[in-house]
This record gives sequence, C-alpha cells and structure tokens, in this order.
Amino acid sequence: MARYLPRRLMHAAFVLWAAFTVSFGLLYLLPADPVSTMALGSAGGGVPSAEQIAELRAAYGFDRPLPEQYLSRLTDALHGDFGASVQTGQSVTGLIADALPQTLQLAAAALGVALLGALVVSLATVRALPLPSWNGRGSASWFGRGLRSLPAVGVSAPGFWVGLMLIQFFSFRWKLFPAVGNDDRSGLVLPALTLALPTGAILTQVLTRSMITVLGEPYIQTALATGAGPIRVLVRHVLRNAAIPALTVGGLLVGELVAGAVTVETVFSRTGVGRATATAVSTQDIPAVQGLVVLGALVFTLVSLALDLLLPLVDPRIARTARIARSARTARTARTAGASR
Amino acid sequence: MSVLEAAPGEAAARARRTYPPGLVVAVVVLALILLAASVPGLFSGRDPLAADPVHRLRPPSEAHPFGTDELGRDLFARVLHGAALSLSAAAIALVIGVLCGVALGLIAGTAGGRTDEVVMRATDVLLAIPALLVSLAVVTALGFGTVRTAVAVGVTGIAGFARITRAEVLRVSLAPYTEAAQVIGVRRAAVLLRHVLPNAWGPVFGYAAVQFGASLLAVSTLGFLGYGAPPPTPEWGSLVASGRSYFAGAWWLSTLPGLVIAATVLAANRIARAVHGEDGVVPR
Amino acid sequence: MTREPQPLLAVQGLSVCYRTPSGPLRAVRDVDLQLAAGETLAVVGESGSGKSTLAAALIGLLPVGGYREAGSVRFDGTDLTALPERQLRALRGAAIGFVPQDPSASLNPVRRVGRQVADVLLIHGRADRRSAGARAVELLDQAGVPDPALRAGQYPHELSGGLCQRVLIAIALAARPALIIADEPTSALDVTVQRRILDHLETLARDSGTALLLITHDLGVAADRAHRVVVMSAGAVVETGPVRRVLRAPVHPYSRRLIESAPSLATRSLVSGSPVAGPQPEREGEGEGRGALLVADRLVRDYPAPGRSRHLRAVDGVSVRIDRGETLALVGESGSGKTSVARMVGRLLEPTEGRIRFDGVDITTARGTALRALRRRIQFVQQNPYTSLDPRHTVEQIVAEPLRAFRLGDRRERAARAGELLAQVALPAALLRRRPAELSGGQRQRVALARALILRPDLVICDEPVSALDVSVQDQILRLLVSLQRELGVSYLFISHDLAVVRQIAHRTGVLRAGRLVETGATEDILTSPTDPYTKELVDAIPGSRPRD
Repeated sequence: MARYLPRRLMHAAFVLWAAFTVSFGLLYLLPADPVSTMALGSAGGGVPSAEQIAELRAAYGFDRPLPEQYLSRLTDALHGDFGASVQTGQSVTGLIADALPQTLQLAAAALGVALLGALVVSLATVRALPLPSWNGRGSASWFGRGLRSLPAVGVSAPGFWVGLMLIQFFSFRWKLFPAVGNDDRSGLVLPALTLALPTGAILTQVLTRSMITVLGEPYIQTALATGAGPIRVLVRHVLRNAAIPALTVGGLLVGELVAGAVTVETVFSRTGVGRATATAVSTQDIPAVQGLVVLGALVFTLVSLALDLLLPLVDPRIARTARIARSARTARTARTAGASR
Repeated sequence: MSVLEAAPGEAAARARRTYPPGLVVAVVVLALILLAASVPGLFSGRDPLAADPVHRLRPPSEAHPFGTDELGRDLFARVLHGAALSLSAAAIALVIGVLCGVALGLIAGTAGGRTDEVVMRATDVLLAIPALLVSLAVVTALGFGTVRTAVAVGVTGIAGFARITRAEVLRVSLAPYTEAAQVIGVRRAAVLLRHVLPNAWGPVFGYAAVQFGASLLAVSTLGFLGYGAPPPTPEWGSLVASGRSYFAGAWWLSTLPGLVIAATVLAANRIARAVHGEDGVVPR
Repeated sequence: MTREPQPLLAVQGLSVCYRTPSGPLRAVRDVDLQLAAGETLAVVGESGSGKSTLAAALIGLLPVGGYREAGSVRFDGTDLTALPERQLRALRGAAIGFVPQDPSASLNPVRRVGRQVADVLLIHGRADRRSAGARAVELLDQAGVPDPALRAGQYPHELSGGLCQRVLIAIALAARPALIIADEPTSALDVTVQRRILDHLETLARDSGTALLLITHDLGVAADRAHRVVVMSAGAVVETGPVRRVLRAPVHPYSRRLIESAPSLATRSLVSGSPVAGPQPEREGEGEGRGALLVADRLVRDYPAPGRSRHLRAVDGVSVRIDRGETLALVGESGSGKTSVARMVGRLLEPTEGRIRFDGVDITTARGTALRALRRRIQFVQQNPYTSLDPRHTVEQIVAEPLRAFRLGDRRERAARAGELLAQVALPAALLRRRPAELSGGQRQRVALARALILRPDLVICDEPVSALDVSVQDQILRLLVSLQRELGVSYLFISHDLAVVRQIAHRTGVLRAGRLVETGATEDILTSPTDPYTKELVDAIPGSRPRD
C-alpha cells in the first residue's frame, strides 16, 4: 500500500498538468484569434476598437510565441496565478476564492441529501425483492418495481427544469422557500434538492444494481442457511459488499455535482463558482474559463484519490488484488509476447 | 449456487410476445417525437415564428395546446419545430463520440502496449474534467450556436466510448474462443474481424443507446445556459430559459418544453435498457 | 416386538418446480427419502438430476422462482413445509447445518472468518458477544484448521480453498445440529485435499452422532463415505439402498450406466498396452526415439512474481516424450504447472529455458510461417467447452475454420469436410446449422474435437477436456478419443487432475508436483505400484477405492 500511494499521487499530478494543457489547447489554440474572442466578449455587444485589441494582446502576452506563452502560463499556474479575468480584471484565483465557499456549502448539502436518498431508496428497493423460501414469488411487488424505476426518472429530467419546477411549486405557489439568492439557510433547500437529484439517482442505480449482484453471491446462501434473517443479511453482508462498486463511481458523481452547480446556481441566481463559470463563458473570458476548468479537474482528482485510499479500508482484498492485477497483467503481456500469431 | 435468479419479468414478457407497458409507452412517445421532428406540420399548422401580441402569455387552451409566449407565438409549434434542432444536435454529438471514441478504443484494445497506455492516459484526463466544463471550454473557444454546442458535447463523449470499446475488445481478445482461433492458425487480422469485432460491438451499441439521452440533456443544458442558437430559434433548452422571465405568472413557458425534454430522454433510456440490459457506467 | 425408530429426516412425495418463461419446470419429482440419526446418506446424480434443488428445498431456501409443488419434509417429526418462516429460521443452522459447494465464494469476503463462525453462535444464542470469539476459535480447531487463533482473524481470500471449506464446516457444525446437508462439498478442491476434508467430515459426524446428507456427482465418494445411497436422474429417485448393494448389483438401468462410466470405479483401461502407430503394424519393444513424435527437454517457465524482482518458477526442468500414436498424460493438482507445460508444448507460451523437438525439428523459437505450419500438426482442445467456441458462429463455421485459415478448398468442400468430421465425432449433421448455445457440454466438446482434428494433426493437446462434463458424458468422450486414436494414429498429450480418468486413456503418465516431474512411466505401473510418495498419495485419494463397511 505504501508503494501504491506515490504512484497515485504522480498520476494525479499528471492528470492536473494534462487538464491544464488540454484547456490551454482548447481555449488558446482552437479559436482563430483568442484575443478578438476575448475582446468581443468583454465588449459586451459593442465592437472593440483596434487599440483595445492591441492593448489586450500585449497585456496577455499574446504577442509572444506559443510555446513561450504556454510555459509562462504553466509556471504562473504552478504558483497559483491563472491570470486575470478579462471582464472584471480581478485575478482568476481571487475570483474562485470568493465564489468557492458558497458552492462548497451547496455541494455539501446536495451530497448529503443524495447519499441519504440513495441509501434509503436502494435499501427499500432491495428489501422489496423476494428472498429464497418455500414458495418464492416470481418477482418483486408492485411497490418494489416502482421503486426500481424511480431513479430512471431522476436521471432523465434536466436539472434546470427540475429546479424551475421546484421554484414554481415551493416558492411561487406554496411560498415555502425563497427562489433566488444566497441569503439564508432556507435558501439552500431548493438548490440543494435540485443538485442532489441527478447525483442521487445515479448513485441509487449503482447501489441497487450492486446490491442485487451481491444478493446473487453464494455467501448469501451460506448466511441464510445459518438462520440469518433478511435484515441481518442486508446489513451484515450486503451493504458493505455493495458499497465497493459504488465507491468506484464516486469520482464520476463529483463530476456531476460540479457540472450541476453551474446550472443550479444559474437557475437560483446564487453566487458561486458555477455562476462564475456561466458568466465567464458568456463573455468568452478565456483565462477565467481555464482556471475554472482546472479547478474542476482538481476537485475530481482529489475526490478520486480520497476514494482510492478509502477503498482498501472497505475491501480487504484490495491490497492483494492490486498486486495480483499487476502481476497478472505482466504475465499476460509476457504470454501474448510469446504466443503465436 | 446462488439464491437469486434474474428478474424474469421482462424476459418472460418478451417470450410470451407481449411487452411491458412502460416499453410500449416509451416507443410510442419516441416515435411521436421523431415524427414531430421530421414533419412538424403534421401536428400543428401554426408558424413558430409568427408573433401575435394580442394573444401574448395565454395559458394552454384548445387553440394553443401549450399556450403562447411573450410575443404571442404558439408554444406548441415552437416546441415541434425545435424537436428537429435538439434531436439532430444530440445525434451529431453522439456520432462524434462514437466515431472518434470507438476508433480510439479499437486501436488501444488491439494494439496494446505503448499505444494502449497512451490512450488510457488520455481518456483518464478527459474523464477527470467534468463533462460540462469541457463543453463549456469548447463553446468558449468556438463560439455559440447549435452545431457548436453539438460538437462541444460530442467531444466529451469520446473518452467514454473509447473506454468501453477498449474494455470489450480486451474481454473478447482474452476469451478462450479467440485463443482457440489463434491456435488453429487463423491470422491476426482474421481473428479481429471474425471473432473480436462481432462479439464486442453489442455492449458498445447498448452504451451508445443510453448516451443518446445523455447527449440530449447536455445539449439542452447548453441551450438553456444561452450558448445555443440565438433567439428566435426554438431550441428546447433556450425555450425553457426564455420562459424564466415570466415564470411566476406564465408557468407553461418553461414547464412544458422541459417536460418534453424529460419525456424524450426517459423514453430513449427506457428503450435502450430494453434493447441491451442495464444502462452502463463508464468502466474504469 | 421392536418398532422402527422414527427417521430423523423423512421426505415424502416432494416435488419442486421453477417458474420459467416457457412455463413451470419440474426440477424434483415425487421424491421419497429417509435418513436416520447418525447415518450418512449420499444423493448421487449428474447435472440436471435435481440433487442441488433437493438440498435447497430441504431447508426452504429455494432460489427465487422456485416453489414446492407437493410433498412434505418431516424433520424430527415436524413438517418443515408447514412452519412459518420465523421458526424455520430458528432451525436453520441450529438443527440443520449446510455446507455449500464453492468454498472460496461461500464466505463473506469483507468479514473475518472467525466472526462468520461466531455469527452462527450469536444468532442461535449459543454464546454471548464476549464468549463467541473464543468459541469460534475452538470450532475452527475442531474442523481441522491449523493455527485457528491466527486464521480466525483472517479474511477468506487469505485462505486456500481447502481451509475455506473447513471454515464452512465449522460454521455448519457450530450450533451442533442433528443433521448436516453437504452440497458437493469437495468438488472444487484438489483430490488430496478432498480426501482429507471428507475424512474429517466423516470423523466429526461419527463422533458427534450427526446425520450427514452428502450430495455428490461422484459415485466413488458415495462408495467410500455413505451407508446408503440414493440415485437421482431427471428429478426423480431411480434407486435407493445400502451402498454396497447398489454398487455391486444395481437394479435400475441408469444406475448401472452411472456405475459403469464412473472412472474411479472402473478397473479396465480403454486402451491396449501399446500405442497405435497408424495403419502400420505395431512394433512392441522398440527403443526410445524411434517412434518419438515430440521430445521436450528440461522445460522451465518463470513468471514475474508480485512485488519482488524474483520469479515464480511454474515449471522446473520438465522433460517429456510423446511417441506416435500414443497418449501421454500429465497429472497434477492445481499449481503443479501442467497447464504451463501443455501451453509450452503447443507453442502458446515461450519456455524460459529448454528445447522442444517436434518430428526431429527444433520448434522452441519457431515464429511466423514456421509457426503457422506447425499449427497444422499440433492442435489444442481446451478445458471449458462453454467458452472455447465462438458464440456467434455456427458449428459448421467453427469446425471448418482451420480449413479457411489455411485456404484449403472452397466453401462447398469445406462444408463437406465439416460434415465428415461431425460424423467421425458421432454428432448428427443437423447440428451444422446450430450455434454453441444450443448444444450441451458434451456436444460442444465433440465440436471442439472435430475442429482440432480436421487438419489431421499429428498431436492433439487436450487440456482437461472432460473435467467440465458429467460422468456419463465423460465416458463417451474418452471412448471417442480412444477410437479416433485407433483410426487416425493421432497422439495425445492429455492433461488432467484426475488419475482415475487418466488410467482409462493414457499409455504413459507423468506426475507433476510444484513444477517438477516426480514420476513417469506406464500408466498401469504408476497406478498399481507408485514409487514416489506424492504419487502414492494421489492414488490413495482416488475416491471409490475403499468402500465403507
């Protein structure tokens, strides 16, 4: 395991560097002239004059050769400097630092709701499944099947639409929660729910599927044969084993949360990193967008790393299988190398 | 011996030549929407761009099944005409993902070694950046518009397709029957064509079917955020966005187009699941 | 006037069905069964006989979709089928124990082994939280787990298959049940381990007076361990009685067939003393080298070991010789390196050291065209007939594929040849159009054989070709292999873990252990008078060699 950690850290560093490079490529190489793009964006409808463009060009160092630009931006980035927003002039890191706490609050609330919801729904779905007996029912009850289809709805509904629906009912009609702003605690409820929905739905699907797979494993029969009841089986045997595959999609879910924040903060007019991203894109504020993209990758990498480190604690087989997988891979490569065509 | 057998419900229904009601509804819904996309005139004769300020902000009625917007335009007609836009954008995104991703996955899976490593690292990076952020970056660079958002979404799908294609190619390549083919003297290219590809394409197809719904959602989201075609183009996402300003009073402006999006995605996912088992998550 | 004591377990008219898309499928039909206290009863049957369903039905744990159609199960006088689930749960584990089939998969991978044993005690109130742990260690010790205190703190993946099975036995015995149902408890284990486990189980049962219901496909196991035997076929009981009697004088034709095909009970070999060398007359007593087809000299195979830079030596200096028209068997348990040897000989794997000469030519490093040419003369039949055939191809395409690979003949000629081969392996021509999914295991293996033979190779390497098949089917395939050898003069390198099977088909045998060849010679000699102690152990472990009194 100790040998495992440095490798993962290096991999994470590589991913971050690559994210920076890819976003650099996308943002600075893709458009014909990034400066005009930015100038157009910041002019906000008007046409930028030639002087403004030239000013921008010099200020952002676009008159230098491309590799030099890349290297200088990279070194700056390593020091935490992602340049300045074209629109507001504020440093990108400053922009992010201002907006981040709000989004973190939202994300934490949403994650909590999503986890809880996923756990409850998946447990209920699985509990409604038939267990072995003398006269087994062929399939789950109506209730169970209904629960099983529920996550699909959560995955299919667009986040922005769900947010608007919640506003329509809970804000406008029933006046329970505010529709906009970051002011107080109650303003967190609807946005958190909206953000939690797609994440929670995917998590529910993954959890339910893995629980069902676990229920089909031979050791469940062993447990039942010792006289364990369904609750005991679910808690002692199913939960922990089912959690293992669910942990591996954790990184993916975080990606959903991050992306969802953009939509939710826009719909509910909350300040935060998501809204900042939306604004940056609307004004084609290239440095800001790059900073935010790297931030997204950073969050994903941190979460994946944390989950990777958490996994061996949940699954005692991991330390061994990591080694075995590696040696199996080498053995296989050796075999294919020696094999015939 | 395991204690659970696969849910016999769907399989049983299929064998009895009747179909579960959910699937029937999904097929009907999708068929209707596809029809609306190709021949919108079939469902409504109204012009989606014709403004009629006298009848602005009317709730749904017989004359206007979806109501009218702030310029008096018939919302139903706008949704119908927007279907072609949104669906084709989603289709473009899917095609980009499939073509580039499957090709990459094939190369990685068959070449192995160095090439495989490189492709895996590249997909790692693409998957590390949340998809929406990647599309936002592309949109920032390329500019706005329906086709550009489609490309932006398509790019985000490449990594997933590459991964699943590679995983399937590897799975089949390591299967005993593929080795048996090598043993009996079949040349490498022939093994690929006759054994690996035919057995690998199934799950990839299933994944693609599910990705269609995801692409539609992504394209609509970009449209909602304002990066799609400018008004008055009735792309579904932007229809929901433009209804926000009047949302308190005229609930139908944002609700109904959004409902149509949700219904389409739900139907597409339902059909995908029926055709190819459970929806897949990108393998690690 | 004595009265028969009430049997511990009395099954009467039990029928079990499964709900399937095409209607209810009866897996167990009208089964009557009796088991007295302290007795061992073996239920013997092949796959599809319903024996596993019967075992599950006895404790009311039918898989989802299965239901009891009729009949009763009386345990110690109580009708289990009429009990509410709660009371049934109280009986499971406490009055009736269960030992499942696949040991490594039957233990919860994320819970320590000692905890899993302690669970049973806690469920049935045989211990409280504090004493359960210590009691679990005692039980592990009784079940024959060495170093029980250490093992109790380990996870299942850290234990071998045999140890896992002992843990499962400890779990089954924990609450001192009156009856233990063991569903194929040793099928997944090596034969020497098998023997030890069954010995132990027998002793434990005898000492504690526990009745044992032993489900098995192996008649030899039944012969060794059971007092009485019940033979099942297609869900029904075809014969029942004391084990000695049934084996010596079976009444039902199915039992008779089963006994005849059981390799461990068979005493005859299917091959004559000397190898066949094609249409030429046999030459007895020729020296080495004359008829030699393949000679492998001191093969070594290393695999990179996890972690350190050392290597795992899977094969250590193995030399074999295969003559024309002969069958050489390589026998070993798991980890013996027999598969690696087979793959090296078949040039699917490159030896780390050593030379291989085929028909006088050194083929150790053959590549490209030379290697492809070799493929026409050395063929392979894999172990698992369920994965060795492409599920998307028809039987005709599969069998004719070698012809296609070497561009021999046009489509019609290839189809005709495929038909010929099918006939040779005794399969109906109608199967040409079918896909593997529609064929049984035995049929698939015949198809694999046809595919291997269509190019008329000199040598066919068979890697455990019958291990995945039922006993009666096994017998058919072995006879087929022998007759094909007689007809075509082909040589076999036969890999197996089963000495009993090897006895029937091999002229010469080599015994592998941990990568080394410990003994080699004529099969009969090795089996009747083995010199190496490991070989002796293997021979003794063959079930069916010591019938129980």
